[in-house]
Amino acid sequence: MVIEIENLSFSFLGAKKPALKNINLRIKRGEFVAILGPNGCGKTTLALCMTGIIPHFFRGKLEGRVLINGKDTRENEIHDIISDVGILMQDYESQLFFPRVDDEIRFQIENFGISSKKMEEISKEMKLSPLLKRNPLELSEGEKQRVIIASILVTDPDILILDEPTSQLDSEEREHLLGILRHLNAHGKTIILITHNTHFARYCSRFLVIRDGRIVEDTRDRGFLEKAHISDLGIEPINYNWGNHKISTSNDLQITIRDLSYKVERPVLKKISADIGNGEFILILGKNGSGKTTLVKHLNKLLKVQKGRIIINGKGIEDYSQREIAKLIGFIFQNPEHQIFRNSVEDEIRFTLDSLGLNEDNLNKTLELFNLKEYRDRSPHAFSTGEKQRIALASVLVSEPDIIILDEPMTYLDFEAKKHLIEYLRAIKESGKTIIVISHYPDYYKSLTDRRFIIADGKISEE
Amino acid sequence: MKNIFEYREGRGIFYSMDPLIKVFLMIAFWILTLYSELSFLVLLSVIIFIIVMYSGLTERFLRQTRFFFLFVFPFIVIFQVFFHWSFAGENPSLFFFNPRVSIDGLVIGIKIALRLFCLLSSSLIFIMTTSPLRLMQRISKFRIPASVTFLLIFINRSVALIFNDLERILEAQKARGFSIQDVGIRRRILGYIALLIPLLTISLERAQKQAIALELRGFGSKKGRYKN
Repeated sequence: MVIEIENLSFSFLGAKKPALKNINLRIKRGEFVAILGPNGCGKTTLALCMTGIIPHFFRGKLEGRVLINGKDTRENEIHDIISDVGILMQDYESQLFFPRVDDEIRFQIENFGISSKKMEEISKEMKLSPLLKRNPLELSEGEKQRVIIASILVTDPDILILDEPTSQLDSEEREHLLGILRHLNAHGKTIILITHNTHFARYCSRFLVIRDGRIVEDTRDRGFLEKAHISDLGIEPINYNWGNHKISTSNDLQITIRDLSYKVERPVLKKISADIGNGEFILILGKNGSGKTTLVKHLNKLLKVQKGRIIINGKGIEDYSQREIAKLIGFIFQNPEHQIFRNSVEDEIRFTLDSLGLNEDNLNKTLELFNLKEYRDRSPHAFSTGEKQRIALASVLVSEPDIIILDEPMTYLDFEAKKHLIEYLRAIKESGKTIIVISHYPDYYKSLTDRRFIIADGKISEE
Repeated sequence: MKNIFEYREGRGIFYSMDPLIKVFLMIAFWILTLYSELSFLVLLSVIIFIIVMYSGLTERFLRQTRFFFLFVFPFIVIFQVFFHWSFAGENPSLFFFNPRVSIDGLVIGIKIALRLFCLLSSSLIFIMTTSPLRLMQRISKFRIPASVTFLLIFINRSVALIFNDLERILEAQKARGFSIQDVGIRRRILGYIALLIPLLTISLERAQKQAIALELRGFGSKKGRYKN
């Protein structure tokens, strides 16, 4: 056994409820385990217990024990445990410290006093050789993850834990990462995958479901993810039908984009032209870095038009003030962390109403709609990322804009929250609003999408 | 903005130079700067520009020092031209503002501004051309705890990331109808003050994640080559 967990319960210091309750788990060498469950159920806490971060870093009440390759995490230092277990954290950018890829890997080598020959071996295995002199923060999301995995593999740990690794990846990068994990697993590594993405977990040999801090399902049934009843556990079945939609197009033009080009050091958008009708649901697809976000940022004046023209409701975008455009177009960013900047949930939502000069009629309705009423006085920073996403959505949608742009809104949401968002989008679409969504997951929006735009290499095409 | 104050791969004598020699050179440069008169400060500034051009840093350097040349430099010179005499003499009064043009003030102003430029730009060149890891490796040989060097690296990186956070929050505010650039000076100041708490919160959250990440990277491990 590489991992043995006996009667593990843990409560964070000052928390009213335990994050983990009586967890018993034994994982054999070479297993490929998926840990599934809704937001805030305790998945990441369990991973932190497996690395010794709990109890050495986070204080709280810990009962039971965790053994990693026979080492008790309570009795051993974190440094002794992590030579056996490596973790790719959900916010993996915080694991990068140096402005060069080779320095990142060398840092790990120096920290563990390992031979520097390992550098070449690892970079070859992880296909990082051409990137060694690049700045990690300038790499694609998939490449950043590969740099961290390479650093972790320097110590040749038996166990590799990945916490929500697919959240920022496009479909190609996801499949590439999956290939790496399967390769490592085939070479004897134990892989533990914490994810909402059941399609990504399809090759796992074992599935654990956690709810409210308890393991409620532990199965080696390969067909587990296809069973419809897992939706009752808050897990998205692999072939879940997000519905079909009768496509409707509108002749009533709302947004016209003509020959839009944008350049920062290199051309990002190249002569893009598109028309979007009133009440349409547009899905924008494309790889990471293809220019999707750059395009939509032009629509609400977050980026200035360099070349080309944008007309909204018959008026050139340059004739709108920032306030007018914000009233007309609601924009929800990919990362909720950067959309939250006030001291309470209510204040966060009120900010939009105040800056747009709107009355507060919608405030309570929005708090209720997004299940935030009981948290209205709490700091928005105290929530999980998935919950912050909900607050970000509420803070933009409270002004009921005519056009809504959402950049990867599902990224941090669990199955229930995703279904809730789809239902909400359906309701606002039926009320005649125009919706533009950027996503790597077109299936979620099958029941809503009227047209799909694909952006590749700065050019647009319609599917 | 994110990486503007960070080391980037490049070519030139300053990139290949031993980080410790660079530290000594930088300190020597600071001492020279502090004790030099106007003509020598002009010479030191020219030397800095030659180093910058020779190291291929011209574009980044100009971007980084743009604010200094557009606002700080003129402010210091103008202030000295009009108020130099307020601070001269035996009993200068800090709040005795009675503008009077003085040529001495012009010379003093240029001197102060150039001194500040030499101090800042020599530090910038050091940061931009020195790999933090190589610096840490060299310093750790002199029994200086690695945590001290790492703290400096951490601060440098954090400043860049805080600027990045600020940019993103301002963008989110703009998307919600409040553009800090378009409001009056009073609301602008209040707007920036209101951002202190979220910026601090984000920075503390990030610092905690990075502290965890550092533990997970084995920093300070007994087996390692860095000693704390």
